[in-house]
Amino acid sequence: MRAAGRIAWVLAVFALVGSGCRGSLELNEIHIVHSVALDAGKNGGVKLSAEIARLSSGQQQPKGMQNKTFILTGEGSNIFEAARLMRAKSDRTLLWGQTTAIVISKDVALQSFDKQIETLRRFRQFRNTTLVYMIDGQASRVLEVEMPNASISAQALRGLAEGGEITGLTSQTSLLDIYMDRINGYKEVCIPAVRVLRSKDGGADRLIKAAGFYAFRGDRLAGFMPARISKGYLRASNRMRSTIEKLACDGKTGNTVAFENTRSSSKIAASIDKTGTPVVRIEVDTDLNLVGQPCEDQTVTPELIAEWEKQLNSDIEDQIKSFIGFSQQHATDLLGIGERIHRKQPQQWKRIKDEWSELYPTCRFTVNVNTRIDHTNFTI
Amino acid sequence: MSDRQTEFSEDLAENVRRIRECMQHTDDLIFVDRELASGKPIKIAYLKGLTDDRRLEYLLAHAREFGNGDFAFGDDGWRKSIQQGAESLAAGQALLLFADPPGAAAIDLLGVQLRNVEEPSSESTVKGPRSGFTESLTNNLALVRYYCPSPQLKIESCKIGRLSPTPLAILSVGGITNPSILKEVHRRIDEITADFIVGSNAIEEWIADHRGTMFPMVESTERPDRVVGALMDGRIAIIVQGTPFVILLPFVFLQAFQVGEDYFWNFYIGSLLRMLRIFCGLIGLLLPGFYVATVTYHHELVPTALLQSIAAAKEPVPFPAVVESFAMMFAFEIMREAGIRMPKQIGQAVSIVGALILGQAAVEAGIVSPIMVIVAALTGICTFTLPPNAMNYAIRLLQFGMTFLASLLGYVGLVAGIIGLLIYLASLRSFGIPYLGPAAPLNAQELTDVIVRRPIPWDSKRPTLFRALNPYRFRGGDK
Repeated sequence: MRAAGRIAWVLAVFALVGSGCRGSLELNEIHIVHSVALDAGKNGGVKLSAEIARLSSGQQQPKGMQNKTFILTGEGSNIFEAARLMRAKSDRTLLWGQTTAIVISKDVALQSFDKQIETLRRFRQFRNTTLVYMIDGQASRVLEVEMPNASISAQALRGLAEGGEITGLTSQTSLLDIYMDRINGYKEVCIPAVRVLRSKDGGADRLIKAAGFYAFRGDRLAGFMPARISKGYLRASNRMRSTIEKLACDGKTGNTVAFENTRSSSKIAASIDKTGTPVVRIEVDTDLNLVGQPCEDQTVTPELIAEWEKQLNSDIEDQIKSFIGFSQQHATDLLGIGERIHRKQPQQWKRIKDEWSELYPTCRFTVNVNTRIDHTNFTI
Repeated sequence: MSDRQTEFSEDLAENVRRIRECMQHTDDLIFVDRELASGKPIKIAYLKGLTDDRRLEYLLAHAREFGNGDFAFGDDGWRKSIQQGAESLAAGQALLLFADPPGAAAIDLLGVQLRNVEEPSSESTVKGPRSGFTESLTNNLALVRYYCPSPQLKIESCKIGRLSPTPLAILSVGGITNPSILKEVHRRIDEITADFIVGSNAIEEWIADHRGTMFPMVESTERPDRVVGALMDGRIAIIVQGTPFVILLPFVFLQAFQVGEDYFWNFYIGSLLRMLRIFCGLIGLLLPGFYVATVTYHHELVPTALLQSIAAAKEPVPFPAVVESFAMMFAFEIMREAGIRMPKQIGQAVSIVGALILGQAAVEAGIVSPIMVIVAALTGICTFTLPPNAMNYAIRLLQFGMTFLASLLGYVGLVAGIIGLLIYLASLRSFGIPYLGPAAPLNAQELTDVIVRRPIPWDSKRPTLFRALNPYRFRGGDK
């Protein structure tokens, strides 16, 4: 009995040694992929580009995220095949799990968005928190940008998403957000857009800039939302953290009064009225601080503040209405109005759900903005 | 030594011959002839060098003033057999050999040069008392009595060792110490059949519940205040002649993270230090394994910027992370051992050689990565925060095993190692007390007390773990 126990122990140790070590990868046997670009390939395929940091070796001190990068590409009928073929060009195993951002070309989105997203889900190599961006044109251009402020474009892409918290022009959208939107179907997918800026002399690509959102309707690209519509979208969907607002001095163009929007929150109430028309009410509350008042002969008084609040209410309402106009025009329910009606009036929803895409553009929206200027930052 | 006892005869010369024979005709055995006031001859025997010269001189000068011995010395000092007399001589006593009645009176003249009471170097303290035990049993008992002047303190003496009987004392507190544990201690000590005992560790190994374990089954300390604290919790102390390390028992795993000084600081500081030690124990056990598992199996779990730095540092290193890790841990152990064994004057040289050659130069030569040096150094330093007992060594030994498991199966291996270790620890007992108590079996309140040092006025209850007879230290404070 004791001998049998010993044999069992020896076998267990051999099983551990024999099976365990195979999964290991030393750090100097891998390439860390920082960002990935998806472009349309030949014959409906996909071209995958991976940005990999070059590691300094020898006697140099490690440079961390300050290392230069190089790009590997692979092309296949889907992302998985492209990634496998890319390995044929690489001296090391590629580690996809550290990918910070995936940039998808608009062409891919137009061709086969759902197919690529499904492959990403099955590939299971990327973190769910990987950021997703879209670009009009070649996505691989984003990875090749020689920025003065960052060595790895993945850093810049992460920085852009974080910057969206104060600009109100972009927002963090991860793979998980897209998976959830596509699987649950509560609301349509919306992916932040980026643009590549060239240097002033028209030479090399020098910067990446956040530029609005791409909106989807199902698996189809519906359209692009520029800055003002994007702000309206973020405000209405309660994803706005901070931004700036401006008002012209005495309604004239030229000098503008600037406000820092320190808080914004929204509530959406959706229902079907007696006539069978979907009715949506959006309530927005915002707090602002005065940060610039260059208008001549104008003293900040409580009356003037009240006047500014009125103007801001109107301005923000316009932002949101322009977003609503966009979404109704493209019949893309980005706020999840349908799901709200579903939850509130499930019986009525059953009757209208099949024709929701036609019904959505007829929804009656009411927007109510309540602005409060908290601080003028000077004693009156 | 033979168990057969030969009684003293009325012939002093014969007795001298027998004692010489019993003591292997040793050259340092001295016999001096004296006469009592009554004119009867006596012989005074002692071992040269083992007795205190001044007291011996006094004895020799005033030998005439002794009576016949039967009235001057009680039973405790009267030796009836040659063997008993020889044992007394070996223990540093002088023997006064009487012909009528036949026998010998033993007078304690032990005069070996011993250390003074000093601060124990292995358990130094910032704020606590500075006195530590010495090699003298009598002195150590006096120190305990000094710190605990209680009539309830009970000292039971015995001798262990067939060939070389070493005196030891078992200390307990009447009304607090559980008699069944005390009885068990006596039983186990009585069962020791060794011919001689050196130091308290030998006693520890003889009386431990599990002789094959690397974990300490009893606690060892040089500090009288810690001994008194343990006695007051219902534990038992064993002091052995010739060693400053006193055994405290029973002992449970979590006590390895406590030091007496916790009670000399404000309870916030005491608690934080205690938690820090537990945290350091975990780091000491798991950090190298965690590092190896992370950089060989779980790259995705490391923040990108950190992984990039680690990867860049690892780039020129030709060895797998596990080999690197073992090499650095091994090098650290060598340096630590060398630091302990080397004379203090050269110790500094070891540090310089260790830091420069094994650290900086190894990194510059691309043999190990700087991150591994940091991991090895942090691991080593963390184990230094634990009180210097065998737990420290057990953790250092186990970190190799954990690293090996992590190199095989990543975090799964690490978790398997932790589970295996916990199962093993839960199976241990120290004098019948579960070794993982009060965590397993769980006693939430006492577990909190082990991790957090409560304010002394709130700490009215004794730990139930040691089954003290009186469960309260004092009444009315536990609020």
